[in-house]
Amino acid sequence: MSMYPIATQTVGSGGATSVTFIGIPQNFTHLQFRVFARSQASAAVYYSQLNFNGDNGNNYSWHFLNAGGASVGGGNSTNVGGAIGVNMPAATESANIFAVGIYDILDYSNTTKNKVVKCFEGHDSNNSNGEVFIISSAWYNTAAIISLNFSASGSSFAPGSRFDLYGISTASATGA
Amino acid sequence: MPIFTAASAGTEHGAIVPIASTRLTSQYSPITFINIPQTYQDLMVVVTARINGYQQQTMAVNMYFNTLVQSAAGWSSTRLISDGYSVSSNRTLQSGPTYGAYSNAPGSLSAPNTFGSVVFHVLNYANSSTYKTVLVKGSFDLNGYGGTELNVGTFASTAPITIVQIGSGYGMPYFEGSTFTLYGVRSVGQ
Repeated sequence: MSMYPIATQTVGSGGATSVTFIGIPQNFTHLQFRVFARSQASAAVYYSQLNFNGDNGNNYSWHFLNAGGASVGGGNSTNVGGAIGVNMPAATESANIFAVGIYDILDYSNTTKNKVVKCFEGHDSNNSNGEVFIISSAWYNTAAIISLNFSASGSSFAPGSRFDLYGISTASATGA
Repeated sequence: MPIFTAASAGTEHGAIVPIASTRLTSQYSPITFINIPQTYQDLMVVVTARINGYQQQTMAVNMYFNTLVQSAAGWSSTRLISDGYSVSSNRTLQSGPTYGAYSNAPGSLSAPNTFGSVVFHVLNYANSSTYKTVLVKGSFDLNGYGGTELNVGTFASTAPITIVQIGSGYGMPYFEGSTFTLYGVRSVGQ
């Protein structure tokens, strides 16, 4: 199994409300999407959202296990408008702190399966705040994933936020 | 003292490029990778470990940056743990010298030949304007007791990471056979 870089985007000085990867090659087995992000929302923590193929309808669900230092929790939601995103430090949180998330999107080019996404993400604000999540999301659509949009949920990503998309090959040949 | 100088990337690899690796032939801690190339997007460190000391079932596998001396100054972390019976969480804050970003591995009271696995993901490590965030997954099973851990750690420094040190709880030595591998994760054009 080998991993290959497909595309990268870094948010510039103006911030960005979302990033979109289009024309995703269909010749890998899986995708990995790596997020390093901070929100500019007027809050301590703000959320984000992942959508596929331009579908913002209520065709997604998610559930998670999380911990905040003092307690452990979980949650779920059904028939929502996107896969769950990364919880990011935002404008009122300490400067220079960014959240990290690693998404695994398996069998993304298959046309007979709904798509399932796993995400491991978290941030620690070097004060009294921190949280770590393991998340599962589903997109109830059998279409092959050809584009990916990651949005700041009505706010914007801070400059320096960075997003990398990788393809994972299970073939023995290199350079998939 | 096992300090490993990193190698430059070759062109024959995919996105995940091995930089340096060791398998201990004698007990030692800490393990230090120096001169890390600044040409990758992310770093990943994969550890299989068992630690000798203090007659403990488990001991910490700690990650530190940019120092040749174990120091957790500037670090904080949030952790989720399951031992098979219950789930809990805790935080550490600027708590030197024991913890950086960390998980746990079997200690000397655990069954012989039992090792734990820990994977550290260090994103944007060469950036000079953001603090560094690390995701950690760790697991071990001791045939009746075990642990699965998720941890997120922040190193409150904007300096690029040029040194990665894998320390241990109370500085106790890793057993022979423990392995430590540093990878670079390339992005487009790297």
